[in-house]
Amino acid sequence: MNKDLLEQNIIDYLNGELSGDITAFENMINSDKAASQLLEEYRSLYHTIQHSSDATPPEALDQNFNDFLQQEIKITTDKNPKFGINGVIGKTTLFLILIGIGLYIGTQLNNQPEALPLQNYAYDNTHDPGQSKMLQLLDAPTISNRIKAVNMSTYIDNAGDDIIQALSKTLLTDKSDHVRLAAVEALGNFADEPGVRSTFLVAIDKEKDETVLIALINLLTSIKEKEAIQSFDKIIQNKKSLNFVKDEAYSGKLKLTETY
Amino acid sequence: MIDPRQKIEKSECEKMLHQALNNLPEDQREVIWLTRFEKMKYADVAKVFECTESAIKVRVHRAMKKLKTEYLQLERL
Repeated sequence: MNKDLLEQNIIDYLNGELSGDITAFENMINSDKAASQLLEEYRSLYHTIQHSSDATPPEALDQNFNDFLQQEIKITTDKNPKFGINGVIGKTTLFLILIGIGLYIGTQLNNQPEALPLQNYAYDNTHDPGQSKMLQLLDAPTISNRIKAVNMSTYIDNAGDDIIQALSKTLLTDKSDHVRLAAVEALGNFADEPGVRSTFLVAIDKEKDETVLIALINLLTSIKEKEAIQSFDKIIQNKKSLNFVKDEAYSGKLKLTETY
Repeated sequence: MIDPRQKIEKSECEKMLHQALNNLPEDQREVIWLTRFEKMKYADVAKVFECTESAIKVRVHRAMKKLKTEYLQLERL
């Protein structure tokens, strides 16, 4: 195998995109010192990329997304002129500030057990061509853009299963705690939909970030989800839980116990 | 607890990586970002750029080779 082809195969292999017999490829690499060396060089580079913490996306990607987002906003506002573009952007900006103070969001949710505030701005999504595109944006490359996409999803009234599933997936799997936090609030608007409560229960059991945990505790308390008591107990008994999270869980447990 | 030396080494590696990335053309940085940082599949990246999966594959190969070359050069300095 020539070096060019070998490098291509190594890149595909490390990207999980190598087609064909992977075991044969690994055997070939192991039996060839130069090939092993080349693989190690790429592996080291991939390792650095994987553990790189402060990388920022290329400007063009950000710009493309923002252009696209503006188009989507325009489509929405054209359908509902009374909800002006400035209002949407203003609320998006406000939301981005709010995610920095997750405790505050949690408290707000807790204080508004029945509230679905963003639905006031809802529009009929049944014929909205932008909805499927917005779902794609939930997988956007940058954290801030994924947050924007999550925030946009909360403006949809009577969201379909696809929106709820996408938000649930984001809550359970997104790498960024900021995005997951945004997903908690967004999904909170659909708490009465089937499966959403159980998503919160799964999320609280696997969540590690304290801010997201607090938001989940407050949300589950506000929607009076009795089954959350078990999860709250786990947090309270976990020696690794931080005190303020334990306090919040304990407070939530008391409220839910009083409710029932 | 992370060993301070490991932390410094990690930070140096990251600096070199970012410098190497900055030395790449924009289109190559984009495919690296999407495939490596965001772990998108070639097929999904192809949808983003509205081109074929094969075209993305070629772009990724070129970009990664160039990134490795740039990174190794910085490492040797």
